[in-house]
Amino acid sequence: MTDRERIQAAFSHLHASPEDLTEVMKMTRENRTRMKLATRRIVTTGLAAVMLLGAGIAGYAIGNSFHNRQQEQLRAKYHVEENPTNDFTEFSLPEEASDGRGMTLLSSFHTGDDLKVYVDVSPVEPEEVENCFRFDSQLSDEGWRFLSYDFDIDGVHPIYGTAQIYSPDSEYAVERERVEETEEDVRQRYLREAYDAETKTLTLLCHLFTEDLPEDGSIELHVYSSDNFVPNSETYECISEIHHDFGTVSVPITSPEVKTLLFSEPKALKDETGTMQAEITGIELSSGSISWLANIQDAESIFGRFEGDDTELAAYQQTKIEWIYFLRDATADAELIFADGHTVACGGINGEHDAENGSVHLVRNLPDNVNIHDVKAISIFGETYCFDEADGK
Amino acid sequence: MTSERFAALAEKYMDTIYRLAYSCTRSTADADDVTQEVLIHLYREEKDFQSDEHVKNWLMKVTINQCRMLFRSPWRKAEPIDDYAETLQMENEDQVELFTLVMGLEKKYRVVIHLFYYEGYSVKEISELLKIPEKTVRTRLFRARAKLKNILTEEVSDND
Repeated sequence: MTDRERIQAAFSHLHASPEDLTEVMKMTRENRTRMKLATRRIVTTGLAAVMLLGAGIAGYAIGNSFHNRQQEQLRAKYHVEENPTNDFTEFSLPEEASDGRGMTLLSSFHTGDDLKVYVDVSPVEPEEVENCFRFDSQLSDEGWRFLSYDFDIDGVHPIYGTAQIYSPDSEYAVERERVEETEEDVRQRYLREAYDAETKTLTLLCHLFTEDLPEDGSIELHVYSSDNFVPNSETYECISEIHHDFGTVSVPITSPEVKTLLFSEPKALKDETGTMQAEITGIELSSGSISWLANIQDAESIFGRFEGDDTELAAYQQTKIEWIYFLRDATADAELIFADGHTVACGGINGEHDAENGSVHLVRNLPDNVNIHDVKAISIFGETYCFDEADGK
Repeated sequence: MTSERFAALAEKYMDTIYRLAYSCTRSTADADDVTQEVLIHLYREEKDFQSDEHVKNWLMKVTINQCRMLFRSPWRKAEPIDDYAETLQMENEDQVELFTLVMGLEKKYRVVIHLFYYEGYSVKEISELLKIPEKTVRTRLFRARAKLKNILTEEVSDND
């Protein structure tokens, strides 16, 4: 029996209720619509109205020169000229000088694992940006007060995430240990790279995970700054209020270009003691990331969302870390092989998706995006596999 | 559309609509809602359908759109798949397992599995129905198959 025949046999047992047709005939006779769905539409309309209110802010005029400069930097960051990819999108700027208050969509890049959306927001006072990097001065006996740039999507509150202040060199929160710069250096660099004092415009990066995005179409991205206050560092309860609402922009969602490889025989991995065992069933490569598809017994308990109590948290984290180290080391030697023969290291993992049905996606973000059309094969587990075929050679 | 024509088409396709709606929503109540709503659209549709295949394609598109509208609703309630599978009087445990595993996948995977394997649509046709690129359909089939590795064994060729 083929896969198709087996699925058809199983699903053929599903039947609509005869009452569906009876109900429809009744409604068409009475020329009425279905109340339940009509109510749903009212709620959707209500949400749209709220979003419009958020976007309806007037202000003063600015030009596009700062937006242009930032778009240029982003093109350079993603090597768009030498490494063209459909996963990078640069959006048209308003042709005429727009009001300065609000938000301007600059560019987006789909790594395969996540969508990075770059926006300019205005007005932002210089002291607000500076305060984002003055950690110590925000602490007092009363607690910790700080400003953050937050965003949500599709009108669903509370926040989806906190936007990062853009820097071409670093897209992570300021990790002072990682850079040989003083705190003041870092602050000045971010002000230089992400802020325009003349127009009071700040460039932000909003990180959206692919698994949270709709299948196609667009999302409504709403960005605002928040005043946050943490009165007690032990409980870390945070009281937040919207400080300034920059409005909403519609961000088109494009699916990333992906190259895939499904192993004809899953690659079995085992740690030295044999307590950790996994099977790598396939690989997905996109221009900004590589994903290892792994089957692991009880994957949900290791890589699923933690639902235990505080007493179990440490054990959960320890187990997860051990697994990540094991899988990171097992995949560490992987290299992409390009058509011209050069190679790029792509081993290890630095993130994972929630496990489902015993399967988990382990992700490695590539340091520089690659042109996947030029990638011919991958070297892993001591063998070379072409992306168009699943057997080693 | 005349009542006679509508009744004939509804009888013929209401199970098809319901199965796709259930694959999308994983809820019998929502699948019933969608089926009724799609049939109302059909009744009111004045399009001159050229063939049964044309009607079916149109119904699939409307069903997918109706399901998308449902997913914007904040008060959807999930139903246990196992409980529903038990009511379906399947012939053997393999069918129950296959149904449960497919329905346990994320929506974007189970819908392409349904359209590809159950309805027999090609990758290109699914791409048009879901309004997503063919490469996305292939990726979803690939991922779904990887998740169902021990259940589905056949390759999806470029010609499908």
